[in-house]
Amino acid sequence: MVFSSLLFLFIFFPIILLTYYIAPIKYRNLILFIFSIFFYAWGEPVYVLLMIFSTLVDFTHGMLVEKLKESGEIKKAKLVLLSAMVINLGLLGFFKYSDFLIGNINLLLGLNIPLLNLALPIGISFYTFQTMSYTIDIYRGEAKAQKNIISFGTYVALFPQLIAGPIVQYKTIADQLVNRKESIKQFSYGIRRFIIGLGKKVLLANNIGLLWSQISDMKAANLSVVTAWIGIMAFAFQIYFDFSGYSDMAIGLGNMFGFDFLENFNYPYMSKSITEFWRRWHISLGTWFKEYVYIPLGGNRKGFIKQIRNILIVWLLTGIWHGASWNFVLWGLYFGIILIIEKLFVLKYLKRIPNIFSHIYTILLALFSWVIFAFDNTVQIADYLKSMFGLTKSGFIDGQGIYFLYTNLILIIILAAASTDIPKRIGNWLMLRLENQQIVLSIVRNFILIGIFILSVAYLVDSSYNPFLYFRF
Amino acid sequence: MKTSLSDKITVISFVLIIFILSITNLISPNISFSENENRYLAKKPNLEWETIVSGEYSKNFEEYIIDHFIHRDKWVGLKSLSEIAMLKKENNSVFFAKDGYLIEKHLDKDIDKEHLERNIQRLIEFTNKNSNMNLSIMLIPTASNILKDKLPSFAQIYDQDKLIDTVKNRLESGIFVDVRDIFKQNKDNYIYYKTDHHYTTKGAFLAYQEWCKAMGANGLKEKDFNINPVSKNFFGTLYSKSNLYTTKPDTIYTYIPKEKISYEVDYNMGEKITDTLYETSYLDKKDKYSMFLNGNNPLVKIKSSNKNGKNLLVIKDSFAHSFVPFVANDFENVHMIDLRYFNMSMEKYIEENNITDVLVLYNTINFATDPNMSGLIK
Repeated sequence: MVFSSLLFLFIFFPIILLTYYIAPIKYRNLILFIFSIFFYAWGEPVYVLLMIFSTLVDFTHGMLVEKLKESGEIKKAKLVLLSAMVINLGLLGFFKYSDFLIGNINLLLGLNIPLLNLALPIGISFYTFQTMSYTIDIYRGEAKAQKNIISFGTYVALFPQLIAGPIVQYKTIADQLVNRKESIKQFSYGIRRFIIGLGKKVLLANNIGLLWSQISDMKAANLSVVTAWIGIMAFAFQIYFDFSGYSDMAIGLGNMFGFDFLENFNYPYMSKSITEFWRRWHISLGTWFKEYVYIPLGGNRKGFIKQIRNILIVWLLTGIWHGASWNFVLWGLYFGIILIIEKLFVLKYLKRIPNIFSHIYTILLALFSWVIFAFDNTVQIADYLKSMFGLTKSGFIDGQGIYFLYTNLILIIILAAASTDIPKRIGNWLMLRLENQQIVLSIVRNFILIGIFILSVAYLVDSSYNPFLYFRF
Repeated sequence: MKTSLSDKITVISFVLIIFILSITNLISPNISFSENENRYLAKKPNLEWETIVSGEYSKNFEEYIIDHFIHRDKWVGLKSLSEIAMLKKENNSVFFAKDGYLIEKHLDKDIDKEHLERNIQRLIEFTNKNSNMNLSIMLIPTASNILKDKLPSFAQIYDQDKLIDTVKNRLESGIFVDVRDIFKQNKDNYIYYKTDHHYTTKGAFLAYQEWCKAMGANGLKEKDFNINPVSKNFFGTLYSKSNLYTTKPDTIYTYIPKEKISYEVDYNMGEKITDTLYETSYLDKKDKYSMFLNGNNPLVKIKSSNKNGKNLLVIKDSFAHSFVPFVANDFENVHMIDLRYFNMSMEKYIEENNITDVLVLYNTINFATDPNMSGLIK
C-alpha cells in the first residue's frame, strides 16, 4: 500500500487512527504492529513472512549479543553479530542481486545459467538496513536490546517508514517505542507534514513525471538540446518531489502517532557543492553508510590514501544499494570520484567564487548524475548526454522542445520555487506578521492546507499516472 | 509552546474530512456503469485465497475504490480546472485545441510500422482478389491532420499524410478515394466533432460526395436533404478521455432525404430488425454517436426501397456509421461488416450475397493499428 492512494487515505488511515486512539496506551504498539503487518501484506502477501523472519532474527540476535557482552564474552558476541549480518545481507543479496550476479557470470564465462526472476520484496533495502543497525548498536553498547517482541516488531514494521524510509535507526526511537506522548500539537504538525508531502508527490512529482515519461520514451539520440535538458530537469524534479514527498508523509504520519523521525531531505538542490548535496539528500542513507561503513573502515583517520579507498567503497555500495544494475554502480562511483576531487581542491575554490556559480556547478553535476541514474543501459546514457551537448543531428531547439517548454512552464517555475526554502521563508514571515491575529492566521493556513489536500484527492481520483520511484530500491 | 487555535482547526478539519469522505463512500450506492466515461466500472473483487496470494486482489480492490469514489465526476472536473490554470495543452493524449476543439493526439510510437505494412499488404491482396468489382478504399484522416491550425502551437503529431500517400500510391489507380482536399477546403465548416474523434454528419456527407465523384455516380446533393439537429448535448469520447470540464457539447445532425425512401435494417442475422437507420434511444445516453446504425455490430444489412439490383459491401470501422446512411439510398442492399467480430470467409460472403460493389472505409489510425485486417482475405 502507498500513502498516496485513496485506499490508504479513506480506508486504512481512518480505521487505524480510530483504533489507535480509542485503545488504552498499553495496547497501542500492538495495534501499530498488527496494522503495519497488514499494510505490508497488502502489497506483499507472501514476502511479509520474510519481513517477519528478518524481525525475529534480529530480535533474538540482539538479545544474545547483549547477554554475551554482559557476561564478558566479547568474541562470542562478535560471532553472533556476524551471524546477524550474514543473514540480513544474505536475504538482501539473494532477493536483490542474484539475477544481476547470474547475468554477469553468464556474460563473462559464456554460460547460460537461468535467471531466478525473483520479484524484489518491497522495502527490503530499507528494513534490512534498519534491523542491521539495531544489532550493531547493541554490540557497540549504543542501544539496549528490546525485550518486548511487540515493541521491536513495531519498530521494524512501523508502516510510515517501512516501505521507503527514512531509514530510522533503532537508537533514535528506542525511547519513543515504550514512552511516547501524543499531543494535539504534534498531531497537527504531522497533518501539515503529511499534506505537504502528499501534494509534493501527487501534484508535483506525478505531473512533471508525465513530461519525463514522454521524453524518455523518445529515442535518446534524436532529442534537440533543449528537449534533452528539459527532460533531465523533469526527472530531477520528479525524483526529488517523489522521494522527499514520501519522506514528508512518513515523518508526518510518525508524528500523528507520537513518533519523531529524523529529517531525510533538506533542500538538496540549494547546495553549493556535491559534498553539501549529499548532506541534504536522503540523509538517513548517508548517515547509515557513514556510521556503519565509513567510520568502521577508518574514515579519514588513517591517512589520505585510506580515506580515498573508504570513500570509494562507500559510494560503490551506495550506488549498488539503489539497484542491481551497472548504471547504479557507475552512478555511485561518479559521486565518489567527485567527492574526492572536491575534497582535494575544488571545495576551496567553490567557497571563493560567487554563490551563483557554485549553485550552477552543483546542479549541473546533479543533472548529469540523473542521466546515469535514469537509464540502465550505457548506450542510452551516452546518447542522452550527446543530445544534451548538441552532438546529434537534432539541433539546438525544435518544435517539440518549444511545445514541452511552454506547456510546462508554470509547473517548472512552481517546481523550481518549491525546491528552495523560499515557500518556507514566506510562511515564517507570514506567521510573524500575523502573530497577533491568530484567527486570520488559522484561516489562511488551514485554507491552504485543505486546498492542497482536496486538490491531491482530485488528482488521485483521476490518476492515470501514479508511479512510485523508490519502490524499486 | 501550547496548542494554538490554528493547530486545533487543522486537526478538527482534517479528521472531519477524512471521516466524512470515508463514511459517505462506504454508504453510497454502487453504480456499475459510468455514463460519462462510457465504460463499466471496476467490480468489487471476491475474496479468494489465490488472488490474495498473487496480489491480484489488492490491485483490483484499489481499482474498485478509485472507480467508485463518491462524486467521481466532480473530482475529475476539479482536476481539469487545475490543469487549465496551469496552461496545460493536453491530457491523456487529447489536445486542448483552439475554438473549443478536443483533438486526439497520435504519436509515431503509437503506430507499429511492421503492423501497418502487413495491413497494407492485406489490403492490396484483397483488392487484387476482387478486381472484378466496383472497388473503393477510403481512409479518413482524423482531425489532427485536417484541423492542424487548431492544434496548440508546436504540437507534434503523427504524419497521416505520409500514410495516406503510401496506401494511395501502392493501390491500383482509381481505387483510392482521397477526401483530404475537400476536407481541407471545408475545415471551418464543423466537419469534425469538437468532443469526439469522429467526423460530423457534414464531414461524412463530404466524404460521400467525393466517393460519388470517384465512382462516377450522381449522388444526392445537400439540398436534397432535410438537415436537422437531433441532439445539442453530445459529449463524445474525447471529452471523456481528456476530462476537460469546460468543454461545450456538440450538436449531432441527421441528413434525411426529402424524397421518401424506406429501409429494412437487419442487425446480426435477425437479432434485431428495424425500419430506421437511426437508433434515437441513444440520444438519451452518453454514447450518442451510436445512434447512427446502432453503434458497433458484427453484421448489418440494409435493404432499401431503391430496387436497382446493386449490392454494396462496406468493410469498416465506426466512421462508416454516419457515412452509410448516405449510400443506403443508392443501393438496394448494403452489408456492413466489422472485422473485429466477423469470422466467416469474406470470399464466400461476397459470392453468396451477390455483392456488386465493395468499399473499405476506416479512419487512418484505425486502419494502421487494426489487428483484424487478416479477415479481409479469409
